[in-house]
Amino acid sequence: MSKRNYQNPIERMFSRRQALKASASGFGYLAFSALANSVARTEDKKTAPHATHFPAKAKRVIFLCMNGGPSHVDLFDHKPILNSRSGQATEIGKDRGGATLLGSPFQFSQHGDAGLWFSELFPNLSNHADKLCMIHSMNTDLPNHSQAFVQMHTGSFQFVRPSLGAWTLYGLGTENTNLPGFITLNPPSDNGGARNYGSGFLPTICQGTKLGQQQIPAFYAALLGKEYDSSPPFKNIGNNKLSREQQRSQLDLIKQLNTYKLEQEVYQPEIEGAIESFELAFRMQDEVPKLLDLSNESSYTNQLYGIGSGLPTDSFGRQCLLARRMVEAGVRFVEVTAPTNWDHHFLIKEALPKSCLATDQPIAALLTDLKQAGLLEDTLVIWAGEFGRTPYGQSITGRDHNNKGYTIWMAGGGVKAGLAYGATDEFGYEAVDNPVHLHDWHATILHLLGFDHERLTYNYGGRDFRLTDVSGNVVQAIIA
Amino acid sequence: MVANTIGDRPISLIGLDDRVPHDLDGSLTRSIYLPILRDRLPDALAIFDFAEPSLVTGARDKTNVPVQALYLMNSDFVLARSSALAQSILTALAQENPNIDPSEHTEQIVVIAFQKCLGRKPDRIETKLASEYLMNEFKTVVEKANREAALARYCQALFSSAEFRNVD
Repeated sequence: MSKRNYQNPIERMFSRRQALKASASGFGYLAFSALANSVARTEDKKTAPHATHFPAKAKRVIFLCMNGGPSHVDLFDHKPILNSRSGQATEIGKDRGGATLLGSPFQFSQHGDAGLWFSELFPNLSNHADKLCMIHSMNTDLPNHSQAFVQMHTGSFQFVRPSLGAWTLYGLGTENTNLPGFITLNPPSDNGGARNYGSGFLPTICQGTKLGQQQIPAFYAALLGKEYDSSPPFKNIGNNKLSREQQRSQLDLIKQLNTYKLEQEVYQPEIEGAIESFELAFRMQDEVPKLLDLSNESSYTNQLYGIGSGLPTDSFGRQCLLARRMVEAGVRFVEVTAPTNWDHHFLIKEALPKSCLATDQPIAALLTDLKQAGLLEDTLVIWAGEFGRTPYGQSITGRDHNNKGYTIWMAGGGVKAGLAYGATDEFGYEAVDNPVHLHDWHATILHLLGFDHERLTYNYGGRDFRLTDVSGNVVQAIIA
Repeated sequence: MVANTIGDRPISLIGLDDRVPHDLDGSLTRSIYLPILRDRLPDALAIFDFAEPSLVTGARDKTNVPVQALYLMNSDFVLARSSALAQSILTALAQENPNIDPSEHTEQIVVIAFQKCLGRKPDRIETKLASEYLMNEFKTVVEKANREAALARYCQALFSSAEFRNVD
């Protein structure tokens, strides 16, 4: 299909496709390529704003990801029986090293008109109790980080599937064509890494754009005595060697070469994507630095979020503020991963307050800020980890992973405000009352965005795939 | 696709006195020799869909996103490799005639560049497109060093082209 000069020795290097074509497939290949080409060309424009299945409140999502599995029994799930029986042997979790109940050392109290329970570790967030919809009966399939984290994001731990953000972008499209529609701030490089923000088989423009990738995980940083940079700026957003004009003419040349090649080859979908992504990258070079520049924010805002050099809330405060700016600028799905790990297998009494200290004020500030900007009504804010923690102790002072019952909360975007939904057993081990499985949660999120989770599908490999795969029931009770 | 060794490059071994190589992103070794730290992939690999080390990957993703474009447009690694390629092209050109003026031999430059980068000769239209670009860029610069920079921009464009990125 492509014109090559075979006289020159260098030219005789066959492309692999040509070799296969010539030696094995012949006319079959020609037929296939014609079919494949027609499929490629009829794909509709991927990211223009789309209509939803039914009208819905939530137009955008901010997902506050609590990597590591925060302890629900120490934060939101008040279990007085657990406390009274602390230290006693128990049958639950015996096969996994547990056997002794560990009560919560933190004080719990009720807040807001709805009387939601909070421990003393979230003083700022508890002021927003009447905005939150807490689901105490979450449950998921696996108690391992990598699998649970990936499943939380993509619905599957076995297969590579598009992430929640990619489905959202695929369904809703984007309003701002100069920015990526799905951005993930400070994503962890472990626990599946890029798979959690990937687009799977969906159009690749639905993929999450990473900002501030954790370059050296804390463990290595401590070991090597190096700096752990938790929120570095957007790498490669500009360079000082080429002026804008030089870059523009360079991009025009790339476009010409690519377009010419597109005409030569019969089927090359990557080329169109390549052209598109270069154009978006060029526009991003101007728009992203403006978006990331927090220097013009007022001191009121900085104080609200706890932004300031040396403050424990500085890192997450910046990220939450960025999240608000991004959704304001038209980004559809922003995921922020907290710069603290909630995986408290050890010394939970000392470590958990630190994680809460780093995140409490910024989250409360984000809710206040969104409300003040009039964005909270149609922005779905999600706070979730991949699982919770066990009511029995581990290594005496810590808690192990608990996937059978844990707590997440959501706010804004059409959820009922000031609601505690579902419940775990008396210890907080297993969801018993109105259990909400991960697939049910995903179905509900899509519903809040205006989609029937069974109808938001993509045909791939001969079957219609969806985020919830073959499961999921919308939890109607939490929808306003 | 990792845009690595162009021309002759000695294969350098990672120094063993540093437990984490100083700059994986700037490493000139072939990626097959690089250590793979589970949580710390070099940008050139991570951005271009390297298989996730902590999970089994049946087939790698094939993505095409702006972050890749930004890497190709702005990263130190790609800019350095483009300069190096420009240098080696000018050296190849000067081998026949040390006093050769690159701006009068743009077509020859394009042919050498295509052969080094893409393993083939450019056809008539590609040669025309590319040498027009080069002549334009050369016109706006006077000094030799800036001419090298202009040629480096062209090499960078070749690295960024779909043909270089997608193995045929």
